[in-house]
Amino acid sequence: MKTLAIILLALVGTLILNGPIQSYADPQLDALLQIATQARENLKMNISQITNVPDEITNLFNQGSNETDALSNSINQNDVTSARQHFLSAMNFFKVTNEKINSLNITQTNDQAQTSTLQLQSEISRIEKIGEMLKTISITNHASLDFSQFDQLIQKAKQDLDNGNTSEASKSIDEANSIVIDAHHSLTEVAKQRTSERAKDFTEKQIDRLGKIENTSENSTTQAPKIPPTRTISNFTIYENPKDVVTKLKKLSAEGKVDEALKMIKSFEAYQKVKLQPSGNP
Amino acid sequence: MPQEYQVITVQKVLPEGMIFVRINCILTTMVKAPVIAACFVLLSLSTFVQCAMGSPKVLDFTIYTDGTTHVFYQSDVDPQSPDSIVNLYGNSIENLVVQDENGTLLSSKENENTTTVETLGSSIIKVDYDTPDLISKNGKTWTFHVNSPIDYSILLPKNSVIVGMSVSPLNMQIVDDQSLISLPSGSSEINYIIGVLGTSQTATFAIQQAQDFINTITSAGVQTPMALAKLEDAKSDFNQGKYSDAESLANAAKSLALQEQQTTNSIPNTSSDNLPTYLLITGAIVAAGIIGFIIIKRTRSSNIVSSNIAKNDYVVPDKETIYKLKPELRQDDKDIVAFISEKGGQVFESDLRKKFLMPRTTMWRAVKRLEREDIIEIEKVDQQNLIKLRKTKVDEK
Repeated sequence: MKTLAIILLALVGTLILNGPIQSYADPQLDALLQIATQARENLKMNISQITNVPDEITNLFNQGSNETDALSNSINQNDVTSARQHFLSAMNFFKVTNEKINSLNITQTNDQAQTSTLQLQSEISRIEKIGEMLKTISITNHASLDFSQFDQLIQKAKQDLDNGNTSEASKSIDEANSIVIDAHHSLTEVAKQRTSERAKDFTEKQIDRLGKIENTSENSTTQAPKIPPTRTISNFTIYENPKDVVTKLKKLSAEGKVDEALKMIKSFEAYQKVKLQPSGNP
Repeated sequence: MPQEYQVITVQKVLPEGMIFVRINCILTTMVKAPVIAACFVLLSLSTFVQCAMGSPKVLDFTIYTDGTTHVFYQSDVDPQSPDSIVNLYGNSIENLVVQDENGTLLSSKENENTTTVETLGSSIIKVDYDTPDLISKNGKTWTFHVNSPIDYSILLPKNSVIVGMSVSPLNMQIVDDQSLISLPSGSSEINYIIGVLGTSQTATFAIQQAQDFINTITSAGVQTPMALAKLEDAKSDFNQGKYSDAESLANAAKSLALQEQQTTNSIPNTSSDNLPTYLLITGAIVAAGIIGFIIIKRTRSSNIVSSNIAKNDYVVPDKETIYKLKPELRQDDKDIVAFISEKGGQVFESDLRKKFLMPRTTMWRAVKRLEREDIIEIEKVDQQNLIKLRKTKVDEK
């Protein structure tokens, strides 16, 4: 029986310990090959468009290409360490190759019109995502902001871009961006306004919680000698006793001084954490 | 009666025997049960422990084509603490939004590289923001650099290809034509190119360019049979989804068309049809001679002056020079450059905002774009951003 129990526990122990480690020790080797191969293909294309390719570029590229082949072999042999080394080496060669190609200052074949279109597409996508996020937040927080104009502008920007009218698309994007900024400001204001209500709720809950702690400690340490109730560090009073904290918090809450109450809760929590930590100092 | 007794005995014995066997099995099982139960409990607990170790923090970067990065960060926070401090990536933070686990918007105060979130009882916070500070650009190559305390993911822009990477990724997958890469904690650098070869867009563009060029020279009377054949091959490959090959063939078609044009022009022909061509060539030679003469003259005069202006080797370039060096600039960026140039090469960012009536963040993105292009530099003066056109060497100019 004991042997069986030991074997079972050992098996379970192995399962537990191997769980999180396994995910790190098993990288997606195919991803490494995919990235390296893409880089190689792309640089190959770039180099094919250069007339009189410098030997340095050819050599660097070939070294990177050889490392990619070696990476492929390592993956076939399931040699993770070697695959990683070849991947990093290949990517380093490709990086330097790319820098050398850049330094040739070749006229950019895939020119500016296309880059501009891609950039505008990207901006539309980014602003649209932010807008969608703010829209969701607005609904969740009952802020009732109107995003209909924003939606129209995004649609217009997309249409303009499809029709090749980049300047109009750019204008629509800027207008949509302005709406996003305004919505962001409005939601920030909403958050600020609601913070005071949330702060009050939070203070009440903390008073209840600390009250319970106080009751528990009173029951368990009726005979214990009392520690000094407060200590002051440079104009700041730390209440060590939950009872004092609760009393003070109730007073601050009744006076509407929520900010001070929050500061007090924060310092008390911080003090409790420090107290719980094993102290190296006497 | 004896018969009845016997029957009773049999009835008693059989069930007892059966019960005895069952008790034995049950007892064995009961002894094993705690061990098995303990194993199940340990396994269940281990799942929670693993979740607790791996799940609370999430860090995602979404990179956009204009060099902006959207950062999403999720973390557990102490529900007993009224606030929590979150580190931010970058100095320029835009569209910062903090939510709790229920989607409630949380108030926050930004400091230099941190933000203090008023959590007030929340146990999870989700932070979203944009920053242009994680990406730099050199030529056509963009570089993303970050030092993360936890594992994280990066979503690269569409039409981008990685050409350099300083760490091995944990995983990679394609999401909506974009590469989503998981990376381990620590410092890492990724170099990538946007608008790369081999995509349908770039192939379409290359085919269109080749077609336009061939049409232009054909209308001028140049026959381009080889180029047209190559272009047809490009179109055929494009239809088969071989975008890389299609683009390559389209570029080859354009080169062939150029060669065919040169060959046609080089054939000696004294007919009056070619008279305008000769006139053009003669005009070009004369113009080149004049330009050469002016350049030599200027070089000589600059040699005399250079000793006097040794300290002023670096000058602010005029807007036309910048436009020539950076033809890919957007029109609104060109307008900004023109305004700075008109103001003597330096203005405050606030002046730019007033002039172009742009929101702070839009202007900041434009300024960062120009900084990445090495056109301007940003200097802090009295808590304000002074935007200066970057000086270039006289000979570069």
